Amino acid sequence: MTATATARHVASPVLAEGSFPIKRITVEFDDPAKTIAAPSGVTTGKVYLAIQNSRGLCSTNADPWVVVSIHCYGAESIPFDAKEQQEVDLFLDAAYVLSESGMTREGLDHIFQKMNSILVDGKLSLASRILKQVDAQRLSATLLVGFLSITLSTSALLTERPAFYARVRQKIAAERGAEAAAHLLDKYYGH
Amino acid sequence: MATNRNRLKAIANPKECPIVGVALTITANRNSHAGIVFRDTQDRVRLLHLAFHHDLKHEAFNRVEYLCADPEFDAVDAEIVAAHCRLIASLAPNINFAIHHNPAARLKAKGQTVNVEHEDKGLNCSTFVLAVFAEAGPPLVDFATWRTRDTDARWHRFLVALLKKHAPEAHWKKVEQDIGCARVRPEEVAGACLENPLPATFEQCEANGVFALGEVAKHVGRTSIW
Repeated sequence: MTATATARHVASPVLAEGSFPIKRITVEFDDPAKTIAAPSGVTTGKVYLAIQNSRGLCSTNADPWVVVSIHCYGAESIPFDAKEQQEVDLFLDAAYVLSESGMTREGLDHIFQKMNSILVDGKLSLASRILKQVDAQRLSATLLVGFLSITLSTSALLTERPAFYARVRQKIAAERGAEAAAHLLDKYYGH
Repeated sequence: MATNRNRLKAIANPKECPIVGVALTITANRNSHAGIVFRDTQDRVRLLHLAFHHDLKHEAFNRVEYLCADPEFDAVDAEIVAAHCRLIASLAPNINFAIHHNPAARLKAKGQTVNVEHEDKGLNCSTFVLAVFAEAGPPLVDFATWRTRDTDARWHRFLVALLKKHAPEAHWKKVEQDIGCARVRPEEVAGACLENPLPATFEQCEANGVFALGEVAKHVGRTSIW
């Protein structure tokens, strides 16, 4: 099931609307370089979307982008496995956009709320899968450390965390030097 | 090893406030009290502090009533501690009050509540701050260096008498057994932030605590009677 929004000329944020729980939203613009920041988690009814192009530029009221279509997909239209992967994609896409927009605190809150929720629900394999899929090159050092910090107390149970830790350490060492990386990350090594 | 007492400051302008720090006051009841100062997503300065049994408060930082000790963390460390504070504040947990300090205690979210793990009694204003920093960032104090002080037993007895009015008997009876234990005073938690590197020792924190208590007394116009 899909719903299609009517707006064609948009300035961020865009409102998409469906009469069912919305699990996934796609927006097609006149220029393929333009993308949306998908909302995180399950949403219902109305959704505001931050939009930007690959250079981080947003549309404005003075220079609105042309939307070809907006599709909202309902939960029942997505198979179970794909649903969970969709949840991961939505979550990480939003984290990337927040990071690339310099919205560090919003990004940390986004990561902490989601990962905390997953961990207290005991979804350890999902948490591990998220760590495996994080693109370290698309997140700031602070948001990467956020993933390490919020997963520290369950580090022994997350199979993908050691590899994630190594990737984060490698990136931060390249950016700040090995000594600074050690100072920042030694306490997050885990069990 | 360096002490920088300029890190304890009155916040005249919110822009001067660090991303995260330790707030220190002397309350109207004439006891010292500590909490965590942090910034929210709108860059407002907030205060998270454990006032007493099941009384975690999240409110705007009151710069008239509090001084701020700035540990001068790396910005990444500071943002991580602040994010933990925002998560805890959003869950608004009930935290049992206790008088001892267990360095292994950690705040752990469980659904819509937050449990204090590795610890079967609870926290107080000082140990709440220590637990959050130990979980989220550089630990503030080296509790292995801590000493018991005879003068703390009087304060402990006062708190347990108060706790008897607010907590179940099974809880206050456990807490009562700790009267006279080693105590990290609120001014010593703030005092730890004046040291580099961390964690700070008992000697460093005790000396800085005396200084901090004097400064906050001048700031709020009250002295501690404990």
